[in-house]
Amino acid sequence: MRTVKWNAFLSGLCGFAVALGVLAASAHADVVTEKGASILIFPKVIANGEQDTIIQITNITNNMVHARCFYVDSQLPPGCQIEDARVGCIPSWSETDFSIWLTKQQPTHWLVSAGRPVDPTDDFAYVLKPAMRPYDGAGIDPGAVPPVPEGFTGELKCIQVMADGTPIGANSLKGEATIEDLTGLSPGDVSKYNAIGIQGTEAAAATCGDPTQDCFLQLNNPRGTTDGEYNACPETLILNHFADVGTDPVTGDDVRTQLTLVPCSENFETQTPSHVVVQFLVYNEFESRFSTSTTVTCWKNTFLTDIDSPNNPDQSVFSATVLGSTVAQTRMNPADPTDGTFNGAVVGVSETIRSESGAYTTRTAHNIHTEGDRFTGTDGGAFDQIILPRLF
Amino acid sequence: MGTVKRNPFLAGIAAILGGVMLVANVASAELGSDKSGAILVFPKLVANSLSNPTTDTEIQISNTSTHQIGVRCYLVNANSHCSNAGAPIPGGGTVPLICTSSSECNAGGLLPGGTCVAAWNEQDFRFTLTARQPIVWRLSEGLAVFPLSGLLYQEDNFPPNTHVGPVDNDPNLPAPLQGQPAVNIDSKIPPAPEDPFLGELKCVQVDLASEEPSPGTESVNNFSGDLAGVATIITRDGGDVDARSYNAIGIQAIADAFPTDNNVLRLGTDGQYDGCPSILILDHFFDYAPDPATGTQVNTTLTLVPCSENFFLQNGGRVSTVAQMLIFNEFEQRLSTSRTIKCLDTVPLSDITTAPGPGDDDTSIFNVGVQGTLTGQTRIRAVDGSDPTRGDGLLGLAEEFHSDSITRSAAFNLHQSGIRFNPDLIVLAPPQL
Repeated sequence: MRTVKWNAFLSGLCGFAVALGVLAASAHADVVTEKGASILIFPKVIANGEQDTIIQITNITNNMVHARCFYVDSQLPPGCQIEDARVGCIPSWSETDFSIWLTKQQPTHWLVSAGRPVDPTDDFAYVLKPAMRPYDGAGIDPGAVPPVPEGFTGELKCIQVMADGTPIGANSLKGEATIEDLTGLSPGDVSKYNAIGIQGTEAAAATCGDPTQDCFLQLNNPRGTTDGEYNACPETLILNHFADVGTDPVTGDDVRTQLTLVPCSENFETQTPSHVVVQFLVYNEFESRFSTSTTVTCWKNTFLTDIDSPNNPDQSVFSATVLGSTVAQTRMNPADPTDGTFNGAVVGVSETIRSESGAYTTRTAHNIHTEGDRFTGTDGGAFDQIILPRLF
Repeated sequence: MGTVKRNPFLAGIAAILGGVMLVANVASAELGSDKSGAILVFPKLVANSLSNPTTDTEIQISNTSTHQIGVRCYLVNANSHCSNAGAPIPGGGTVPLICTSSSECNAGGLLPGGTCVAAWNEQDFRFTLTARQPIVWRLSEGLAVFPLSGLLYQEDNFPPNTHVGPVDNDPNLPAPLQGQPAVNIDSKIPPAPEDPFLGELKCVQVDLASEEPSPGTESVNNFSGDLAGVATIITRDGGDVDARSYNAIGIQAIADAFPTDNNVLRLGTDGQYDGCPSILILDHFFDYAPDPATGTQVNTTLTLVPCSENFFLQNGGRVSTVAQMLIFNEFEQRLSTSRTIKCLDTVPLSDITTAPGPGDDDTSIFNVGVQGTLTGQTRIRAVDGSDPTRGDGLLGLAEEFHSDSITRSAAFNLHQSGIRFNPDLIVLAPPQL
């Protein structure tokens, strides 16, 4: 009798496992911004006193979900305006990690500058006592989420894991980030984007079973295949944008675009920043093509014109002056080195900023379109990797 | 005992079936706002120059391929109209033509019988895009002159009437266009037909010569479509401006399934395009929640549009779909509600379960006071109807408003899960009548 009961359970479990396996195997291989995923990337997270960011993460399944999250701080040393190694203006690229867990279908959120301490008695007292600072911890706390260091500018990556910390490709997570202006011409202005999701397969994190070994998450599952661990990062990013320092058709005021890129590959064990050379092709409305390039080291946040002409925006290939049209399409591809090394992929978001000097600023955030897979399976299987620190 | 013996088999079969259904639901889902597609859907476009603040929408569409492509677009006018428009109102004024509720038509009860009648009317247009070409236009103005249309070389070394544009030697081009300058042939976009205007835009990639629906032209994305789009809704209130932006939803083509059948585009099972999602997932602040960063009040407006649309018979105003919603708060507590969607539905979350307007919002299940946490997850499932000529898939968009003395906003695309088993149908009018 007991055996029979176990059979029922096992039979169901096996059936479900088989189905899940098929499910994982048949899913499309793509980086996504609207579907559940096993790795979430928030490329742009700011908490520098002028702006703050609200992170929302949701478990979209009926199972308990755990995740390891990594803040990567890319703020410059005091006194530095732009990244410049010649004068010591090099970002710290330090990471802070924490764990969260979400019950079935549970949404959660936190303010990046404040984090979210575990306090089962907390509430949103602001409603009752408007003079108080918002205290918004109501709900099942997802774990101890630390506040970021002062002046934080960087990214957040979250990786779905099992209770013991081993990564799993169950694709249960989705997320959003809301960036808010706290100061400036338009305090309270908001922009919002969906977190970039990398979907996993049943083979996810096959190398991560031994907690004494480095854990490599291999982003080696291009579209059309089923035997990789996580979906490959995109080969091409496609950004539709206004010509920089151009005129907005509706408001007649200045419009600029800020681009944020982060490498897909990251080594959280050795804290070694990844470098990716990115080539840009810029097409205006007359099908004229321009090009430029830049290097993304760990995290890059830049106005488009600063990519190729930081001292004179009007001479940039992204500028309205050079493009001669209102909008443009920019295609970004990692350069292919000729020395046999692998130049990984990048992902990112953009913000369009409309402003009138002395009057207002309003920002909108966009998820960037993607195309193809950054996977060179024919030459030894080069692909992006995320290396997690050992648990000890 | 007998029951126990049957359990292993049933449990296994049930689990496998459940899993297989899951697989069926997700196996080919490739509809999203982060990839180019062969159909673009802009769920919400707004223009209003008569109110304060004024509103307009900027629409950007790009051809992501290296080939010239054709596009047919359908601008759906979702304005409602007063049944007694123009009637004099006691005390002065007349009943407006365009309305959002019947109280605007009956002047708060002064004119019994005046009702706000939901409408559905489409206006279509077509244009071409050259390789990699982006365009932008204002909803209120349209685009009368395309970047590469109409310009003629003035220099003597060009034959008369030679258009300005890069010479296109694409062997896939119709013969008359090969070796000619790439131009936006017969391209024009009309302005929104009414002011104020609320509506939706669907655009379909078509063959340059026949204007029949076509898949994409690039092997790098499996010929799944070459259109990418962005819409930005801009509100100007005196000297202050607020903008919110979203990516158009792209529906990818399945190249092997073409050609299509008589302008009937089938989305999903046995179709030429990927199916609409089974479930839409919205992460949101509960209405009237205090913003954790600024303390301002956060409200969310949800816009839903049907995947299926018949642009030939224009029956969009007579069909509807029921959307079932499950709402989870941060305690994992679940509440539910539903709403009937016709044509285009844009509604503050609180008003889904309470009367329009803020008067009774504090009793809504989307209210922060009812839910007890700041954020929640709402899962939206369209209920299958019985009409075999259409499906019941839904697509949507969320707009988040942070209000203090002024209002700031952001728009974002909804997440999705699975694809619907029953296909959706978009019926186009034939290109040549």
